[in-house]
Amino acid sequence: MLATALKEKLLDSKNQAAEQIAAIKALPELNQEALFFHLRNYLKSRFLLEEEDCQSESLQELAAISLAKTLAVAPAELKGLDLSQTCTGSSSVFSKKVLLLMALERELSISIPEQESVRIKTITDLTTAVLAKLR
Amino acid sequence: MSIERTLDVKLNVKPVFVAMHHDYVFEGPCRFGSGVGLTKDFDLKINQEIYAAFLADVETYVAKEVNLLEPVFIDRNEEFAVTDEMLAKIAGHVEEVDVYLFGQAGRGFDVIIEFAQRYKKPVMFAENALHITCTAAPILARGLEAYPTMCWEDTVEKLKLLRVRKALQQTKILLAPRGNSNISLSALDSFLSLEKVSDVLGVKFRYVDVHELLDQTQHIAADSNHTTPGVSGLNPTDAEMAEINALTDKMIAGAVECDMTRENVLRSVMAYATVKKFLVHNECNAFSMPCPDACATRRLNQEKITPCFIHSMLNEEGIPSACEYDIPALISMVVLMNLANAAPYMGNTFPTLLKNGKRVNVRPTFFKADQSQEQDIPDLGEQENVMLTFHSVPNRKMKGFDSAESSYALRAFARDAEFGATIRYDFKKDIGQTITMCRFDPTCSKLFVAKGTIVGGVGYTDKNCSEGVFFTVKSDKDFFNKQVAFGNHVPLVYGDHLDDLIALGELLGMEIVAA
Repeated sequence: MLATALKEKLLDSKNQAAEQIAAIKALPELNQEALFFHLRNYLKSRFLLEEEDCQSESLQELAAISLAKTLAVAPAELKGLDLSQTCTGSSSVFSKKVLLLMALERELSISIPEQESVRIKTITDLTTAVLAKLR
Repeated sequence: MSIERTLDVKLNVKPVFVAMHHDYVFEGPCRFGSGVGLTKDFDLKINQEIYAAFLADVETYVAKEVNLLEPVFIDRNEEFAVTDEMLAKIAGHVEEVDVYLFGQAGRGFDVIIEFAQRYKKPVMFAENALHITCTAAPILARGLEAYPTMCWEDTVEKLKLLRVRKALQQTKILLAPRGNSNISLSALDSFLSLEKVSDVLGVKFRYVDVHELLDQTQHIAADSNHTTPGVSGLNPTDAEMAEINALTDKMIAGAVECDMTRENVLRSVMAYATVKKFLVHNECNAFSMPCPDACATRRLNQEKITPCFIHSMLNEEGIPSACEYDIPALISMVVLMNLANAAPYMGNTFPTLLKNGKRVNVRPTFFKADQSQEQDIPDLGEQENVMLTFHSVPNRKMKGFDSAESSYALRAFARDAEFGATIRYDFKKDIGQTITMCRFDPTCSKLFVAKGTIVGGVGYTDKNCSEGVFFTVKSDKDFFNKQVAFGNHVPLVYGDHLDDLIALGELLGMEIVAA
């Protein structure tokens, strides 16, 4: 992909993510179904995923697919390639999940402590947690 | 009460996770990341993710192999403090823990080193590509135990070996001496010092006089034994005699062939049952008694007992039991049994050389049956590097404790009086089977290890101590030249366990001598 096209895609994804946040804030009534829909779209945008990539609901699997696409490798090959970029020795898959949650915290003005965030494994878990914080 | 088998020993493993977070946002030579990735909140969240993944890996790879204790999470910041509170929290009930299994996020290496120094317990670091060696080296340099691992599979392998070491440490052998409680007449190649064996391997020993033991195989009033008059013994009770009779009938009915009278089989079963009572009474889980020393008093002849049946039955129950008061062989059997999860076999082990087209060392003195001389031995043909291990103590679980019982015959040991039940197993059915062998040396500082392939069997149709297995090795000359520093009986198990055996030997501090 050319640098310009990549830049456009990133910008486009950023805008789409912002639209989903705006949509969540504009919801007349908060409910699990509507929130799930927007959070799933938000994740797709943040992780640069297409609809066909999102067969799983697992945040870790979706993060792995996203990372694999970026690196142009199969998700199964990630373990050997995914070297830590942080002091903690974490994998990029974990980092993507945590950064996603932190972005949501910031954009929705909520706080999800680490003891709760670690238990969020799926988009449904995420929806339930965010719903509880927003209510 | 029951016998606490070494096979059932579990390794108690305590997972410990040391996580470091940064309280402050900064960059530098060892501070990576960018944006929110440099915040405390990010560190706290990501550390929980890594901890959860660590626990999931522990569950996936380790849980089924060990007894997992309550995990501990230690949080620290960039002050790199190692506090007494942290170390005490890690230690927990330290006396219950066999191995501390560390995972970490960020820098926790110094915590592990100081913990190992303070508590002197084995520490293992699960999969973590960075800093493993710089954590292990200072611990090992202090003479402490550190087990760095390359990956989870490696972690599991090392834990399995540590479990076998613990099994050895929990081995308590019941010995039934006659003249000498350290070395029997036919096991002069035994350990020079049993005290050293306890020091090096952790194996303990208990003793019962062989004649007291033989007295108590009789179904008589428990306080009427000849050598202990008026003292209540462990003689079989009426209820136990019912079980002994039932087992006798079962063993006879289950045999492909039984050449013995029921009365003679019964005496062997009574001896086996009495030994088990002594094992329970003395809290032991392994057994040996002498052969020639006990034989020479004529008492075995009088009681119509040989030890063979006892050894076969105990071994297939996962209770190591060795012929001829051979303690190095017995402890080798503990090792082999625990590595292979299969019942071991033991016997006199030596090369059967071909001289002028004939096998030497397989004379009719032992191998008297026509089948042995006319078929089993000639069937070996011109094969080179053939070794023989023989004693009439095979069992029905040599293919594994989880396998079905192998078929067997029951034949007598004594050729004339036809007493002394022996299990007969046709090793020829297993031609092509790989076997693994080992034996400790008399100084308890070396371990002889070898691998072979079964090429024949002898003595299935015979009586006496004539049953054996022929196997080839890489070089019989090399095998023999190395074996001479170790001794006669070289116990074996089915399967290729050589790599594990060598790794275990090294873990035990043995010099490995491989043939």
